[in-house]
Amino acid sequence: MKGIVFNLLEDVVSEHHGPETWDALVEASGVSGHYTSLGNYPDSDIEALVAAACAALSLDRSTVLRWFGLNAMPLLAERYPTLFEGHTTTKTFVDGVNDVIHAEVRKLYPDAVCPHFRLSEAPEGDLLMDYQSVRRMCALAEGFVVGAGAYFGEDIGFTHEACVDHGDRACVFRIRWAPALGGAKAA
Amino acid sequence: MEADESLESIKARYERRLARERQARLDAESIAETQTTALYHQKRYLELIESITAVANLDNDPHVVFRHALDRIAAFVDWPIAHVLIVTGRGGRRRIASGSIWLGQDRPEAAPFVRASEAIVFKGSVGLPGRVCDRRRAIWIESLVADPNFPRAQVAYDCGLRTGFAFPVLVGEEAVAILEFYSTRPSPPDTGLLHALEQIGLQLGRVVERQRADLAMKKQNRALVRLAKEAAAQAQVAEAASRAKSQFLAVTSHEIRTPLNAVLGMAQVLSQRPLSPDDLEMAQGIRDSGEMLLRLLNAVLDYSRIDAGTVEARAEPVNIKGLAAQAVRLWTSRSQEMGVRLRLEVGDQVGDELRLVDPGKIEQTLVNLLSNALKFSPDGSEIIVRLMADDDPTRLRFEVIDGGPGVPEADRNRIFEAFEQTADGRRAGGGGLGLAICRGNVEALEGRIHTDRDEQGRSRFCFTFTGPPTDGVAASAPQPLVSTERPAGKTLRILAAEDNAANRRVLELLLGQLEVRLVCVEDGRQAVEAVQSQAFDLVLMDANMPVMSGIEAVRAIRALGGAYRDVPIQMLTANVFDDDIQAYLAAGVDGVLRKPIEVPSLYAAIAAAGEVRDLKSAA
Repeated sequence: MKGIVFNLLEDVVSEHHGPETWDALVEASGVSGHYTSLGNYPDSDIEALVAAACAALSLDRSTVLRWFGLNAMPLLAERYPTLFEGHTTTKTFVDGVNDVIHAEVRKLYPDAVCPHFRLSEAPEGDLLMDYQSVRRMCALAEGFVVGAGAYFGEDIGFTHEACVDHGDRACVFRIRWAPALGGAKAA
Repeated sequence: MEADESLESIKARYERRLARERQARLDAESIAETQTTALYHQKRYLELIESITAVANLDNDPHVVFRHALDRIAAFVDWPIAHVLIVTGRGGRRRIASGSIWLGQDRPEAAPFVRASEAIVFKGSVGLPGRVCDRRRAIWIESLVADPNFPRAQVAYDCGLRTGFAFPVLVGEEAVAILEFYSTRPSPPDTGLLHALEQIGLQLGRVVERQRADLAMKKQNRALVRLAKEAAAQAQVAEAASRAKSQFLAVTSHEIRTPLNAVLGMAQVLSQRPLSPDDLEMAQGIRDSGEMLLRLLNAVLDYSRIDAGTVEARAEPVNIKGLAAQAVRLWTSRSQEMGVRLRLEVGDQVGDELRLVDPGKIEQTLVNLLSNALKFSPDGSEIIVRLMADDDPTRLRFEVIDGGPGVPEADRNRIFEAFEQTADGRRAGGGGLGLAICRGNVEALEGRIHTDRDEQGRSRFCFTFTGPPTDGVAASAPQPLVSTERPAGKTLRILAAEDNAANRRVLELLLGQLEVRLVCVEDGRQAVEAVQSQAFDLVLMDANMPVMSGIEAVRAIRALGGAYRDVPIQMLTANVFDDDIQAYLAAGVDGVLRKPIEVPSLYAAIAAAGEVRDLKSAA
């Protein structure tokens, strides 16, 4: 897992619950806790930190990951404004997840292992998004998408139609876009 | 949480946080330094690739480029020994041997290794070169002496060499050369460098590829040059053969015409004498056969001119309608004899206008077609000659429709080739040249010839020709070309220069029937002397004579002073190619009579000379 994710997690936890909560999570989870965005760290570190948060807040893993993704979005926009440039809707932003966002991530971190999303449009205009990753972080992805909607000020509908956590082979997200303002429909 | 914490534990927690952050910074710095170093190396590898690629792009000699690559790479790693091996053969027959391109081979301590490397031939997967060839990848051997597949390990070790690497020069999937490098220091593998070397191997491969293409092209060029030379030589041989053929035809034609002249002339004179019916039939037979021989000879000569591509159409104003009428008239009696009706149909749009054409070629074509039509038309059938306007006003069209079986569709193109005949054609006799001559004529007239069936299914031969109309209309139907009447009047004095005794006899016989006093001489000089010693009304001059040729004699006579020079001279010769006739006219003859003698033409010339004499005496 890229160091940037740990940095984001630290920032989100510190912002919402204070830096001492992060200290407590680091100590409770037994991880080294020194993360730089340039480095790569074991996936087990993020799982241990999430597990510690679950325990401290009595929440399940998915809820913690979704909360993290949702609240990380404004921080991401602050740190990497170029990823958001030119986008005014969640739809165009999410449509570019593979070709724009992850491509930019690879420029910064050539060894980054980004998930690939298979995107397709449902007949009624919804976006269908397949997610397949050994990390099983579909909830984090959901948090990011919903967080992006919040960032662009749109009320989008997110349904987790299939999920590996429920025995499905892959996760499928259905995203319903906010009705376009003034009748203009995003291409 | 914090409210319950003691100051001590808060301090300890802050210290731990600080330690984490310091460690994170150190980690970041270390990562950044490592990446910077990697970038630096990558930049150097790129520079190395670039410097070798630049030379590889400019030079087409693999040896020069290999040499340069050895120097640059050895300098890059600071290793003392480098060597190029060349791969030959493929698969099981692959051999890798020294290409004798070295770096550091002059170092005394390296001499045994150099000698061993020059001597060894690597087969299969043996040694560093064999493995590199197999895997088509760069390979690094950190410890030469410890390597299980390095046959030169001991000698390398004795020479102080510890580490080596090698990479392939690739043309596509094929390794064509191996570059190997050796160090005296043990060195760990440098994967970045190996990757760069593989790139370099591909660039060097392009040079080999270009050289191969170059060699292939040169080989092809040499083959082309050789072919061109062969073709030129063949063309020369063909031209020589063609010249020889023309020469042969000219000579043979003369040689045949000369005796034929005597045969025909004597047969003609003989058949005019009172003979028994049997004798007359035989005399007629000799004449007919002689004439057939003459026609055949003429056809061969015509065809040889067509074949040589020297046929050119003249352009004279001609009344085509008149020409057609005359041809039909000439063949009418012959058709009647054969029980075939012959008639001419002229389209309404064809008038008496004069057109610029070559009448000889049209006549010959028409006559050949008529003669064929007669051959194939059964007794009681009909031959129609049609002359029609074409869509193009500068063209006309002739059709000859006969009562014969016609040409099977499969043979319709073939029969216009020389010596190609249908089975019927062979049975009917003929040399197989008539239609080829027709085609040559029609092509010279910018027309087309073909055969098919007319609307009623009758066999038909058609040809078109270009003849643009000119101003003016023919005053009358053309006059018969020559008078067949014997010239009458006062005794004419004729000098004949003829070296062949039989032909002199023919002349005596032919002219003996006229009021003519004939003096015969045997060569040109005698002719020149004769015209100076007495007056003549006409000189008949052979061309090929001993002592002085006819043409020289004509020039000599025309160069004489006084009245002698104006004596009418007719060339009487078998040499009647266009070039010959031009030469006679240039020398100053009044006309050319061909041998074998066409009696009407001869008589016409004599009659003309008589008129000239009468005019002179009247004046």
